[in-house]
Amino acid sequence: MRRGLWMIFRWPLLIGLLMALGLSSALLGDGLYDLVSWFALGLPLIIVGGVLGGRQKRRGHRMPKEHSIPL
Amino acid sequence: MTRQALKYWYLVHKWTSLVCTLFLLLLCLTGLPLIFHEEIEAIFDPHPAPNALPVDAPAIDYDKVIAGALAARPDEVVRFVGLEPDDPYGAVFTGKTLVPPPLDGHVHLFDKRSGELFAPEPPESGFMDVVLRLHTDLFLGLPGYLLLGAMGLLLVASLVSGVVVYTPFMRKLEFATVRTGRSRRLQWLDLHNVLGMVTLVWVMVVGITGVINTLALPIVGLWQNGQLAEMTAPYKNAPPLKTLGSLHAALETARAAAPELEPVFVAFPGTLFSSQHHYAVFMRGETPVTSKLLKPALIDAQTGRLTDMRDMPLYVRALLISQPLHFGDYGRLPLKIVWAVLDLIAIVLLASGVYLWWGRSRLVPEADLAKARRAGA
Repeated sequence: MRRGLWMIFRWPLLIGLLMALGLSSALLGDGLYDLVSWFALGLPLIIVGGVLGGRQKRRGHRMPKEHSIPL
Repeated sequence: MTRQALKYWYLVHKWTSLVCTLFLLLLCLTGLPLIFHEEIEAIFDPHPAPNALPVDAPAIDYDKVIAGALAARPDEVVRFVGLEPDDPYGAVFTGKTLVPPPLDGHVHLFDKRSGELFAPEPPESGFMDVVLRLHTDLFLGLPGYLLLGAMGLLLVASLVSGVVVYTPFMRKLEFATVRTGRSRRLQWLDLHNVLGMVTLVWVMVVGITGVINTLALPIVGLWQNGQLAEMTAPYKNAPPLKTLGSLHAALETARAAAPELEPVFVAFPGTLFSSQHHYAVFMRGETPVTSKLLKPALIDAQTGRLTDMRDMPLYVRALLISQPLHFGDYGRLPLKIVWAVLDLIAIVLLASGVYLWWGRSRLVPEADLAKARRAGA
């Protein structure tokens, strides 16, 4: 299936908006605004880190099975 | 997009990245300790512990502080006084002459509540200073700033073209897919793509604000010849000052003129940030936005009277707002940590980019693109 621009860029767009929110929030205020910044900037990093890490782990489980398949 | 256009975009991405990569690696590596410069300096070069003083301690006499600093370095003159409102210490900057060389002089810290002066120290020349020079001008002065600024512009071009060439690769892939187990290069290509997308806005903002920061010297020059010259025009033909009037009175005048603002630093007459006849008191507000901006009040250094006070022009404000956005120092320690993580990801991004280009002989990127297009079209 050929994915359109929306399908390709919806996640990057959401992450970009979160990042922009995080970059500006702490500039506009203190306290709660700082908190918003930390989460808006940190969340995408944590989620993508989790997705990438999770993939690696699943692959690790699969590998021994593939090896045990008799030719 | 036509195949030809995509090929051009790819060439833009390749060449803009290749030219600036080494510089950006240096900037990322030196930037990492600079994010935490306050914390690092607090460990290796701690300020004297503040004396316990009652909150209602009487206001200190700044003229006595100045006299004390001059007594400690009789062969020098006062250039600036720093009064950072969030810091219990102020600093008197003295030098052999009013105009730089900036490394030739002394810094006299003083307690802002008791007026006690500490021993004068030469300006910093330690490890962090070397890191800072490598990060800002490569020890080359203005040409160094402008060179790094140009590298920042290449980075922006690289990011834009990177987004364009990202598109065909993702025609058949879910976001953040990393195809492991096929070839190491393919795996790194996918990682380069996802990490680039996640950090895109941050790298763009830090890149553009970095470029603006490299223009600090020309921007200050523009302000001196523009607004500052205008503000001091009535004094153009006045005879030079023989003695300086009270700094303390000048500060009182500035505070009275803008009670909602706090003085941040004072430029003495004859320095680059003032005229021959004025104390230039730079003030800033308490609200998060006004605390990033400066408002200069010019005080006649003889009479202590206010002669002019204006908001700084847009181009100086752009510079002042660019600074926190580049340094990441506006949201306390957690923001700095986020900055450091993003900086590390940027290093991975740069290294993987070089790896992809280096390993191209095994799987030519042009062929990648053609393959991606065939698969997608």
